[in-house]
Amino acid sequence: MPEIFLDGAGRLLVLLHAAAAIVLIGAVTHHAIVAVGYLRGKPKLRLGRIYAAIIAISYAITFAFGLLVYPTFRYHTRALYLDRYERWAANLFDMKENFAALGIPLVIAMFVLSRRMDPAEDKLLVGPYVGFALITAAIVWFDVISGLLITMTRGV
Amino acid sequence: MKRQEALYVAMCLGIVAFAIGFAYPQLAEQAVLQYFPLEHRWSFEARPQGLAMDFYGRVGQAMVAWAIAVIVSLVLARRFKTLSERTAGLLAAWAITFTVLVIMYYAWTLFFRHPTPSPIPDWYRPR
Repeated sequence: MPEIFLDGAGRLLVLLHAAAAIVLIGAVTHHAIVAVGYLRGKPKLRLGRIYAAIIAISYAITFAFGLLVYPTFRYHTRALYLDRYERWAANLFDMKENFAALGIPLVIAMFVLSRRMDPAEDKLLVGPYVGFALITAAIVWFDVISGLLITMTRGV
Repeated sequence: MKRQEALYVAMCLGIVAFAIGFAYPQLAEQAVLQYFPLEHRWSFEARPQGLAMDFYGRVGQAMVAWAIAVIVSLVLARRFKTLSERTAGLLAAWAITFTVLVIMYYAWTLFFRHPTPSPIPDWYRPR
């Protein structure tokens, strides 16, 4: 049996990956609601900043655990099982990982802008900020649901 | 230009650079860092043989592209006094469009993909 990086810790890493994702999905959802409030003239600035910071931290942690468990998943789960018996799940996983990567610059942008922006004064920036928040929320929701479906089909 | 406006310009151009840097290796078959999990080695190539993972390499390349775009944008943004409403809107449109286009590209190509499974090894016992 080949040695794969962190193979023995695969299940623990997926558990931690999922735990961080629970925090993340809550934060992006609340943050999206707060951001839409900026557009409606109800800026909860402090709350928006807190959620943007929680998103940045939990996104980084979720992504890092995903990167660590990826070699184990790539061989034992995908190459030996999903690619053969459940191709839709293999393809869904690749969509999920690529979408997650594309969320990184959006999360950084929201974190940076949330520290500096005042929705009452910087009206030019409010619309784009809400756009970033909604796309990030859509990516996270898609990834969490996909992750659950894939893990139900075959875990590490 | 106000500090937050300069940061906004840099973040939007960073998002565009990240999306291009991330998808370009697959669109143009460009060589990228590959990890071979069974062999514990890294290689810089476009068409790897055997079980290889290009995700780390593409994320790394995208982060480098993002960093360059952000630094250059922040330096250049100092030369402008104001950020017009039109420019702010265009930057947001570019950032969101590039991200959504790359998402659609992956969704479309991966939906129809037929992955090739690895051969079942002798030692394999389903978990």
